[in-house]
Amino acid sequence: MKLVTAMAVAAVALVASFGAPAQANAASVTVVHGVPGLTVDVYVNGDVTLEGFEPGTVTDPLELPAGEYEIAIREAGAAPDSDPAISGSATVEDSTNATIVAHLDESGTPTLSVFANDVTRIAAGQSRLTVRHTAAAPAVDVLAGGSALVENLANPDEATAEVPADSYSVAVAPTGTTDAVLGPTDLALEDGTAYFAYAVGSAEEGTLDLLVQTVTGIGSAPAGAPAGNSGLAAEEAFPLWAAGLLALAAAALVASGVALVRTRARG
Amino acid sequence: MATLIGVPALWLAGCSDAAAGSPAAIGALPDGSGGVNQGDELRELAPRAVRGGPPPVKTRSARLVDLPRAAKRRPTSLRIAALGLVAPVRPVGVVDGLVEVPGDAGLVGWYRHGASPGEPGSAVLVGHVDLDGRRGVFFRLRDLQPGAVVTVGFARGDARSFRVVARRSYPKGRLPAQVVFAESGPPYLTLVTCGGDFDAARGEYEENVVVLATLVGQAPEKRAVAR
Repeated sequence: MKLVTAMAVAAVALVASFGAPAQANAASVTVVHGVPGLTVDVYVNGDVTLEGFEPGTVTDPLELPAGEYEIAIREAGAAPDSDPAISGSATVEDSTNATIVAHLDESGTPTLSVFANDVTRIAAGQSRLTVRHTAAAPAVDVLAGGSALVENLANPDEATAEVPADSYSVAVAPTGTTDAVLGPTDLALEDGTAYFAYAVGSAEEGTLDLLVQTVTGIGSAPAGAPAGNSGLAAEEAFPLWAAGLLALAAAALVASGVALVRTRARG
Repeated sequence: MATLIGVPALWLAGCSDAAAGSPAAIGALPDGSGGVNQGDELRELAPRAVRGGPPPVKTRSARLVDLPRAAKRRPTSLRIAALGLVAPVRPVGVVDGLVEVPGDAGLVGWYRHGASPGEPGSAVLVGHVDLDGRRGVFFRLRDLQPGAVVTVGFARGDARSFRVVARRSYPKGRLPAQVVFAESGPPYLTLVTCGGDFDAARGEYEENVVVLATLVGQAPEKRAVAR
């Protein structure tokens, strides 16, 4: 295995969490392993935090205080003082939701990237799909139901779309083509769920794969139901009431008019 | 004249009572500060060489093929004997931020992003009170009394029964989301239609009528509603 030290320094942008209190909060950090064929131990600030971390897996969210973290990734079982396979630092800000991804850069070198996750509320009936290009592959289009949902996405960029919660046939193809290098595969997007999809692996070595991290429970409820348009269920008094009010108003108008006339007559 | 004015005045008072009583019940949405990862198939890493540190970090497969799929059971029919109502049920979604209501006034819509009837949380069924001058399937929902039994049938021929416990009206746009669209907790049925004042100019009612019914039990298959 080639030992490479790739310094990935990325600051996590503050995610404006809808309804989140203003005071400082721990950040929620998830780790995704997208380097094929390499089971690893993950060291954070010198301490082993995750052992035997397998490719294609994701951690539960870790609650971490804001701050700068030094991350070193070594082949599983390697001595803690050996040269890491991947290392880097990540700045984690208050109240953010972030993912640290170990993956290949476009040329196939293992690296680390930090992405800020948009976990703000999603409109009723919608899902949020974020696609992250973290594979050793050229720029791609993401196709949903045959048409391009995301165009010309290059490593290590991301794109986000909110779409109706439904099942989609999703494929990834080199930009400008429909020749799928991943998929097509059925993706059932649930209401109120954010999906963070990672294209990982290497096109050259035939190890491309799709990994998905989900954040659930951030949906919205519908505001109501438009279940009537004819007024049949309105109490019958309604038109009578309207008629009554009109009659009353008319009577008042006539009365005041009469009074006015009388006043004038007296003047 | 006095009668003409008196009747609507009472009726209006009834509406404003319902409106005044509802804000306390209108819950805030669940805390929006985070969210949790789906973790049906969590597994712990082998806790080797943990030197009194923090608990092992849990991991799971992130492969697309391992993504948990929620397979909700679709209700196919609704029966409310007290109203003489038997109707087919179709799944519905969201249109313009509102629950989609079937285009056919005789159909009941099941909000497919909510619970399946009998599963934890609120299973929402919507139906028209009226549509284009005709009475809808839920025209008499506002007459449904506590204690009435509501039965939901499924494609396999089985059914679940619910007993009405409450009926309320809420101004449109002020439905108590935590009640009507609860995603967890005890299983119950929420029947929704329109009611209250009718705004003839806009062609819509000003309130939603909501009936809550709690799960009684699993009805025997022979009692299942056909269709």
